[in-house]
Amino acid sequence: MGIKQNVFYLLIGIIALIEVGIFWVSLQFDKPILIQIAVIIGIILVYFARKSVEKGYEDERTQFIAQKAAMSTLEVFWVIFFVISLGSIIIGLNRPLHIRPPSFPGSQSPPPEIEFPLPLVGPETFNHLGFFQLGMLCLIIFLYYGFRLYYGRKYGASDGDEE
Amino acid sequence: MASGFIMAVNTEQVTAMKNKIKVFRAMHDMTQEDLAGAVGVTRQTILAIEKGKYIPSLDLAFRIARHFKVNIEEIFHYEE
Repeated sequence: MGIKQNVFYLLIGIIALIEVGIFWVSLQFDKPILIQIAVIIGIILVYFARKSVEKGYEDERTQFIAQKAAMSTLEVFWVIFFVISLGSIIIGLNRPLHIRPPSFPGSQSPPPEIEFPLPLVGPETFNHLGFFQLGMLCLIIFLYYGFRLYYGRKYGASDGDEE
Repeated sequence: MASGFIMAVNTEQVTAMKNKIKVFRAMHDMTQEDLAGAVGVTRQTILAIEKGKYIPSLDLAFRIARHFKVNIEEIFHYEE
């Protein structure tokens, strides 16, 4: 026996709340593994719950719309990702490489108090990378649902059209 | 159960493919919901097909035709 669509959404809400709680605990105890394992378990739970939802809302047209939306998301996302990556590379190549210039006898070496900015990628910047990746993930979700709405309108009809 | 075969759709095809589902529904005194339930799709899909916004897969087209006990050409026809 399957679960109803509304129960499924309620389940997702509860899992999301638990994930937020575990994220806080993970932050407090400085244990990233907690939230990582919790997210994987959460996704597995959602996957099994989704399989048992009564399929009264899904058919070949909704699959077709999802397919078109996924394809369009990919097409737009790779361009955005490529442009951002290209910008990052330009910034990265314009930064100092942390290589001390050779000092020859009689020449002036740079004063030791000069502070070099952090490299663009490295262990010091991993927290920035996490936020960046999360932002990209949000962008994918935003694009996908935008395209789903668009193709839903293009290949479908609104609920109020019953005759 | 949704069909694995999904027909490619574009605007030109949608305008060229016509159907008489609405007429057959009226003849059999069926609502969109009834027909959707009988052929295993959502009501929105039946509505989209009737409005010419979506072309059904061959599998679904045959299921609709068989439900009304007619040949597929009597319901769906392609206008050049």
